[in-house]
Amino acid sequence: MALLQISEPGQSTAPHEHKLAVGIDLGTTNSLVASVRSGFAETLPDSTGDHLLPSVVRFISANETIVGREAYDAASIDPLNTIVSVKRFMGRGIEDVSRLGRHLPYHFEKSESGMPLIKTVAGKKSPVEISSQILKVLRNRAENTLGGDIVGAVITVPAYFDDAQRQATKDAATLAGINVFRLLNEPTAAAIAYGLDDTTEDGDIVVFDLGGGTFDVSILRLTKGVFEVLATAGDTALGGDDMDLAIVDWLMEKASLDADTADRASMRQLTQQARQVKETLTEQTSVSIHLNLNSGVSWKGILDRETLNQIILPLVKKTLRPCRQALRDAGISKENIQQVVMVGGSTRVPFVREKIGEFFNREPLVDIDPDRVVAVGAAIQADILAGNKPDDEMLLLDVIPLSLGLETMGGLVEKIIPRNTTIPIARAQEFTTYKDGQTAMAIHVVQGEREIIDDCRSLARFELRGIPPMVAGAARIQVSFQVDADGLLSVSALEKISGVSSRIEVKPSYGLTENEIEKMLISSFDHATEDVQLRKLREQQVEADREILALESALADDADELLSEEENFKINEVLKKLKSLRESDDAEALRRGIDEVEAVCAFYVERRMNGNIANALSGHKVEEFK
Amino acid sequence: MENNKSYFELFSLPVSFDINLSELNSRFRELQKAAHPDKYANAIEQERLKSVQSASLINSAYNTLKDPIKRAEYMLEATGFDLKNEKRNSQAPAFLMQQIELHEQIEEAQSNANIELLDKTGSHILDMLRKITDSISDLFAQDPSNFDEIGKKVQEAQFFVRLKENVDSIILDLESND
Repeated sequence: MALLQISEPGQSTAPHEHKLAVGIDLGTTNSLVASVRSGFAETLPDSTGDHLLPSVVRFISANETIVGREAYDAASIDPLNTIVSVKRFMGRGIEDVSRLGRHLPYHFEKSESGMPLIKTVAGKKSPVEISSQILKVLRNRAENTLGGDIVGAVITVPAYFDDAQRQATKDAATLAGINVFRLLNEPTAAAIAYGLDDTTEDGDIVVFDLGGGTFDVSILRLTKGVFEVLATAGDTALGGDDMDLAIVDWLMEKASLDADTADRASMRQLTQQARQVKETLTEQTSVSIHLNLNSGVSWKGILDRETLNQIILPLVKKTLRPCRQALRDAGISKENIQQVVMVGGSTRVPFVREKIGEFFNREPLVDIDPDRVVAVGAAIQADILAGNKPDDEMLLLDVIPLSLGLETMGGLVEKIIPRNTTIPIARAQEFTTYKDGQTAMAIHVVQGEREIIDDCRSLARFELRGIPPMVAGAARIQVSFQVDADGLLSVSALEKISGVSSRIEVKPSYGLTENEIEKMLISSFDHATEDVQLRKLREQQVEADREILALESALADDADELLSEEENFKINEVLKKLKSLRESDDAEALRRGIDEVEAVCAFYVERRMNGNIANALSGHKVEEFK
Repeated sequence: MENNKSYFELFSLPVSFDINLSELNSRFRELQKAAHPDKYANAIEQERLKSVQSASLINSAYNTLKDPIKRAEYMLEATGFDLKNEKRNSQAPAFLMQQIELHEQIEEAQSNANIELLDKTGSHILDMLRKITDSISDLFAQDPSNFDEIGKKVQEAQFFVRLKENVDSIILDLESND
C-alpha cells in the first residue's frame, strides 16, 4: 500500500506550483533522465521499464531514426548507420577523432569548421545532431511520464570536458528543444546524489568517475552546505570502452585474427562479446567464451578474472596520475580524504574498486547504482534551480578543469585563467602590438596546460581590427575572459587608447555557429515557414512569461524598499506594456518589449544585488562587535 | 556591486596583510550564497548577468586574499607600485646562490628519479615560503609604505612558488612512469 507523503515544511512547494525539471546524464554508453517527484529524485523508465537508454542512434532513412536498445542491437548488422559512443566525438576535430579510432567503423567527413561529420543513409550527421536525438528521446520520456512540458534541465558533463565539449553539449540540448538551466559536472552531481549535503559532516570527498569513454576525478570540500570543487583532473579519452578494446585485442590474439583483415561487422560482434565478458566477470571469477563470427572464424576458451585484471591493469594505472594531480592541485594529502565515491558503470569492475580503494586507503562508497547516481544528482539540482525549493541553502562552486590562455609571439601560450579556478570568473590581460603601424591583431584562444601552442586545444580565433597606427608596443589591447557557471567562455578585446572593441562568444573551432543551429532547428520543422514563425513566437512568449514572472516576484520582494514611487511607476509601465504585447502574435514586438524591460530594470537589479550582498555580510558585522 | 570596491571592502575586512582566514572563508561562502548564478536561475536576464559579474568578482577577490603572496601583490599594486617593472637584478646575491643550488638539486633528483629527495626539496621550499610570508607580514606591520623591501620579498616568494610548481610536476611525471 502506498503511504501518503507529507513534505517537510519549507522543503517542498504546493503541487500546483511545482515546476517540471529534469536532470539528464548524457553518457557515452548509456543516458538517463531523472526528476524529483514527491520529494524523491529518481530516474525515469521507458514504457518497457528500462531506465538506461543506450546512447546509440541508428539512422534508417532520411525520416526514420531509432535510439536506444533497438539501435544498439542493430549495431552489428548496420554498423555504418549506427552511431555508438558519440560523446567521444563531441567538440572534437576530425584529427582528434581519427586518433581515437582504430576500431571505428564510420565514414567521416570534415565539415567547413573541421568538425567530423558521419556519413549515414540520412545524410551527413554532426555529433551534436546525433546527441540531440538521444536528448529528444529523454525529453519525450520525461514529458510523458511527468505529464507536462519541462521548464528546464540540468545536463551533466564530465568534469574534465573542455569548453568545446561543453558548448557542443549545450548546442545538442538547444537542438532538442531543451532549456538548459545548468551544465553540471558529473562528479559534483554524484556527490549531491549521495546526500553529501548540509547534513553531512564537513570534509573532503573524492569522486572517482570512470564511465564508458571518459574518466575524471574530483576533490570536493563540503562546508556548511557549500560544495566547493577544489580540483579536478582526468582523461576525456579513457573509459570502459578501452577495457572492451583491450579484451578485443586479447580475443583476436587468441583466435588468431588480424585487425587489418577483420571486417567491420566482426569487429562489432567482438566488441559486444568483449563487453559481455567484462560484465560477467564482475560477478563470476571466470567465463567461458565461444566466438562464432559472421566471417566464419570461431574460437572457444576461458577468461578468468585474474587474466582480465592483467589485461586492464595499464588502463587502471592510467587513472592514478589524475588522482595524484588532483590531490596536489587541491593541496591536500590522501589522509584528508573522508569519503571516496565511485561513479560510472566501469567502477563495477572489481579490480577498479580494489585498486582505487588501495590508493586512497578507503573503502569506496558504492551504495547508489553507479549508472544512475549522476542523473539523480542532476535532478536534485534541477529541482532547486527550477525554484521548487526556495529555502534550500545548498550551493555548488565548480572549477574550470583546464587552463585558458592566449597565443603570444613565437607560438607560446600566456595563461589567463589557470585550471581549477572557481567559476564564474572574469579576468583581463593587456597585450600590445609587435610592429610599428600594426592595425589588426589576431587573437587565438586556447585551452590546456602546455606552454606550446600546438599542445593545447584551439578554442577560437578572432581578429581585432581598426587599431589606430602607433609605434610597436604603444597600443594597449585588453583581452577579457568571462567564464560562466556552466564553464563556458566568452572573450572580448578592447584597444584602450582608441576604444576599438570586439566581442565574441567563443564558438569553438569545431563547433556549430548560431546560424547552423538555427538552420537545423528550422529544417526539423518540415521546411514549413508557418511553423518557423509559430515556433519563434512561442519561444518569445515563453521568454516573456519568464520575464514577467521573474520581475513581478522581484517587485513583490523589495520594490517598496528599493524603489522610489517614480521608479516603481516606470518599471510597472514597461511591465504592463510587455503584458499587453504578450497577447498579440508579433514575435518581433514581443522581443523589443522584453529588451525594453531589461534596459529599464538595469539600475534596479544593481540595487537588488548590492542589497543581497550587504545582507549576506550583515550577520558578520554584528559578530565583529561582540 | 560596485566594481571599484576594494577586495577587502567587498569582504568587509580591514585592509591589512594579516587576515583572519577562517573569517575570509566563511564570508566567501555567505557572499556566494547571495550572488551565485544558481540563486538567480529564474531572474530576469539583466539580473542573471549581474549575478555572473558579481560572483566572478567575489571569486577573484577570494583567490587573491586567501593566498598570502597574491594578497601582498594586490596590496602593492593597489598603491600603484609596479611589481613587474622592478629589476630582478636587485635580488641579493645570497638569494640568487640559493636559487641556483636548489635548481641543481632538483635537476639531479630528477635525473636520478629520486622522488624522496624531490619531496624533501618541496617541503624545504614550502618552509622558505613560510619564512618569507612571515617577513612580509613583519614588513607590512612596521611600515606598509616600505614598497621596495616588500616588493623584493614578494619577488623572492614568486621564485619559490614557481620552483615548487616545477618540483610538483616533476614528481607527478616520475610517479606516473611507475
